Amino acid sequence: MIHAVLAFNTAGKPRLVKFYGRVGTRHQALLLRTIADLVLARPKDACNFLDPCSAAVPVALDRDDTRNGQDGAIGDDDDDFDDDNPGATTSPAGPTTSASARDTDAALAALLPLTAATSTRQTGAPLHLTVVYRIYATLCFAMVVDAAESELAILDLIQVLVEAMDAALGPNVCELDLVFHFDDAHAVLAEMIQAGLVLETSVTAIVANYKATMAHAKASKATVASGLGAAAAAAVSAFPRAGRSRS
Amino acid sequence: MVVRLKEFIKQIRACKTAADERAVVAKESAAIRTLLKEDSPDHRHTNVAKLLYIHMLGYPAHFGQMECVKLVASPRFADKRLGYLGIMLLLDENQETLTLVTNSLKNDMNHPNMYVIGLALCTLGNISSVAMSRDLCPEVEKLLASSNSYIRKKAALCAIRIIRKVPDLMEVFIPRVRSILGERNHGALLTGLTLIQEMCTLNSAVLTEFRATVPALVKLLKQLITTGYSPEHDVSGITDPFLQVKILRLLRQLGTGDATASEQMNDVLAHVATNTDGSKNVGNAILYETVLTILAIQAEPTLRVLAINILGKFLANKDNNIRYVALQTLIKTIAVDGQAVQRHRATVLECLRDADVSIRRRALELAFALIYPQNVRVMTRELLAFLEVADVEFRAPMVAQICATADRFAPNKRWHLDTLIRVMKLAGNYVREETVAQLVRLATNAPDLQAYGVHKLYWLVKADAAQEGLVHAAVWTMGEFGDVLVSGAGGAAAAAPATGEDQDDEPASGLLTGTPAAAPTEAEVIALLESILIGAFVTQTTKQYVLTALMKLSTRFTGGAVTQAIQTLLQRYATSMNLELQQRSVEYTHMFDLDPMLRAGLWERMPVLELKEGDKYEQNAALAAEVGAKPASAAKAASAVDPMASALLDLDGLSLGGAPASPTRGAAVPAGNPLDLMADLFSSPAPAMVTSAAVPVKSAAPAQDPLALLMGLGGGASAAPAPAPAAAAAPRDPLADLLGGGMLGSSSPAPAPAAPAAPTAAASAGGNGDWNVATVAYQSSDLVVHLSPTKVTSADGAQSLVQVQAVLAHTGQHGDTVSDMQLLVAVPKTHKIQLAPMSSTTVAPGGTATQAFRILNPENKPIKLRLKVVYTVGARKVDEVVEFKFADSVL
Repeated sequence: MIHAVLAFNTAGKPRLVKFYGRVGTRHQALLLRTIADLVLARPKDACNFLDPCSAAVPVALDRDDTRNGQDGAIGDDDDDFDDDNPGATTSPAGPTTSASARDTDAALAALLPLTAATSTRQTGAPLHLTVVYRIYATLCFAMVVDAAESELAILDLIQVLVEAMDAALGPNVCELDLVFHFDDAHAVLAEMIQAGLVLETSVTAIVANYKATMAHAKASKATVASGLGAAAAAAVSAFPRAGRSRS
Repeated sequence: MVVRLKEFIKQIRACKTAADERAVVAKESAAIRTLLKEDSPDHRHTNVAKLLYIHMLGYPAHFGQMECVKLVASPRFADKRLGYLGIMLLLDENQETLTLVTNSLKNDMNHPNMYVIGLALCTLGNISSVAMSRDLCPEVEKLLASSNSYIRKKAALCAIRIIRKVPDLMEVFIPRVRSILGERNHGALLTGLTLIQEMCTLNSAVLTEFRATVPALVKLLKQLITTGYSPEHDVSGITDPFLQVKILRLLRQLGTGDATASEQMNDVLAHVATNTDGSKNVGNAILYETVLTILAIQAEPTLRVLAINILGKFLANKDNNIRYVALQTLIKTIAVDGQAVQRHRATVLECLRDADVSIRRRALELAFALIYPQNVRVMTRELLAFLEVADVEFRAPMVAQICATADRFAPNKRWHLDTLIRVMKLAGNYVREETVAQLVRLATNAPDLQAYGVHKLYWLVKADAAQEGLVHAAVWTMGEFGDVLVSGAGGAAAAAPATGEDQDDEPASGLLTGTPAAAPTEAEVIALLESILIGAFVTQTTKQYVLTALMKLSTRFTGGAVTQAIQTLLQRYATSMNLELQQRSVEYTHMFDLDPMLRAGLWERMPVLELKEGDKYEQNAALAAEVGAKPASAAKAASAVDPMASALLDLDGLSLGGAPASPTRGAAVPAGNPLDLMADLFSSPAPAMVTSAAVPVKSAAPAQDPLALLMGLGGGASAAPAPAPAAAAAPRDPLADLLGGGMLGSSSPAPAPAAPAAPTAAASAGGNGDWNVATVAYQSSDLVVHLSPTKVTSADGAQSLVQVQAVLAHTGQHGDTVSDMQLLVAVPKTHKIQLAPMSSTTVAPGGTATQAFRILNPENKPIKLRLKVVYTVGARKVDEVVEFKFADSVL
């Protein structure tokens, strides 16, 4: 299955982050950063896969800087993590279920705790996570997939995703469209991949479904009075204890 | 005033530094928290949107979960959409929130609007927990039968999530799934097939059941291939490649391990494999999937050949991605069909030079898997060539792999030695301790290669002393075989360093070809060692190696000036800050005060480390000759780490570091004690020697005192691998005096019978009883060994003790002196034996030597002995083992 769909620009800034599985925010940021660093460091003519060795993920989770420097600062400081030391996996949430995988895989899998646990339990086989990526101008799309997906097919799938984004978010979609309409980007993605599994592969169908949803949303905005919305929300607030416990 | 989402994003984008960004996010988070407390529905949408953006940037936003739940309850579709998105992104395992979400989902799944249902299904598929799966299973089942394909496909993926969480619920969906193959909508078909796949993975009974669908799947696939252009599903000229890939995957699952199913799909696979256009990535994706399926199922042999050939084409493809997957697949295939993969060896080796590191890594992995006895020479040469240019990260694993391969497949010792030396030369700094040990073992084992090896190493180190592994190996061999080095015997083979490279593939006869290079003089060798010792980057370990090597050379070299130089070098470290070096320096310097003969004994040659598989090389040669040898068998024969060699290293490290195993052994020599027995124990954990009842022998050997002393000095006998408890019986050894008798008591548990030393042993024994008639235990053309047993009953009569006097007499059949004599005796476990030193290790014609030993026989069983007689006559070395049993009358 697909464990994550990520988009980031050539400076490493996240533009679309979607994990199919419960992964903590810190893990997510760290994983994105690592993948971005590894992908962006590769030469243009290199193959579009990060093999498990180079996909070793640093797990210095207790570091407090969450690495969101200004644009451009991201590719520079590679020195603060070492790819050679994946053995130091100390992720608190990371179960040791994937211990049978190679160290490097384990490090990547540890960052995807829930999915790693699920699929290892089912198949009994270690996860072999691969990062498949494609770079379009200043944007890079990457998917973290396990052995249940064909690498080459995923490459095509990324192409489909980009074509769908382009058709859905307006002609000649650019990075800024993703920035300001990240919710729409998620909506397009949801029409294509659901729960880490491919839902639809036809660009036409994806875009049609997305547009229909959007039209429906617009219509709802126009017709439903906000008062009604408030009333419904108040109904949910009838669980006041729950509401407070989260705030 | 509430900041709008757009404004907020602009603020973030305007941040110049990470600190600025953190500040903006913190400020906004605080503002949102305040708004959340006010619980104003108007700002809810904006707040959640901003929180999701914050979340994407990697900052905590979980406090917004409840807001999302509230948004979901809104009748406005736009709010619902954002709310569910927030739930998917932010939700954690909080039980209360999950309950609320479950309720919302249940409501929305029964909503009349298909898009609302779609949203709910999408959310459920992403976040469903076990409880949720149980609660909402009926809804999903109902929606799976919906007339709307948009809902059907989403429901199918939800069903997957549910059966993953609760496998018991699978039964519910099985009836629904049967109709999936008739599905016309490609999206719904794709998800339906995924659901079948998942069910088959989870339950093998279901898998068997679905084997019946193979013909239908085959038909479906055929349809896809033969359909003309359909704009909706076309990707680069191929109709819905994703669906094709999915079907091929499912076929693989169903066909694996089932002959009938495999048979049914053979045709269509062949069709796909031959008719798919491989010029674009899309086509190759399908071909790749087809190859994987063919290799997994029980396909016809011709089909397999076709598959491997497709991979071969992939390897030659310009696209790196294609080559990458081809290499990866070949690695997996090699276990199934090694010969077919062998055909692509040249291409694989070419990939080693690829610009792409991922490809290089895969190619390297495959290259090692491709090594067979037949091609080990060629492959190793290629890999060594690659090692020279390999990325730094590759080197250490490569070195280990090459050495393991050399150990496993070496056609002869000469090649093995050459390979190891070349590895060390190229990447000496990445060589591990075991590899040095491997080389040492090899060198001690091959007397004919010692001269060659030491010469080669000498010249290599002289040219470049920066490779630590190489330096260690060279220093050790130079110390051990220094006399051979200066004698010039091996100069012919090693010649100059430059010629070292191209000899590796020559047979061992190459030893005698080439022009002789001048052997270095003793002074030159010492000078080289000195230069290593004072080198700028030399490590402490290397220094230890060098000191010990120098000490060995002091007995191997004859020149007085050289000995003087060695002493000077050693004394330099008498005040070293490093304890280890200082200790060595002081101990070694003291040894110069000893009798030269004694010192020579102390620093005798190391015992030969026996190879585990003596005829390994012949086996390998035979394997190489045999075409079609299975790699698996060779792999079985393989053994990565050699216990013997590491045993030696342990010994080295025990008290003196480096290689001072010789002092422990040599210490016994002046007393004529066969401590070589112990050497044998170290060097041969092999069963062969265990049969010689090595265990009781351990506690024998009365004159081990110097050994114990040395060990004691070095940090306690506990560190010794040698069985030292019986040591230190006779403190008559000069070393004991030298090193201080005080140590003696502390390091040795006093053995019960204070074993008298050799000359007196016989006399004292004589007092207790008479020698019985001597029996001939061993006879050769050079030597006769007579054993004269005497039974001595101890004072309390409980234990039976047999004193044996062994007389080793020269037969007088020729005039050569028998030298380097050793008599080793082993007894069964029920007995204990103590050996006294031999009176002399040399017997001239007509002369005799004696050795006494006593056997403790607590159970009064017949005494069986195994005798090992080792001696040298002229240039001939004799090493024989005989069994001997005393006549019952003796007891």
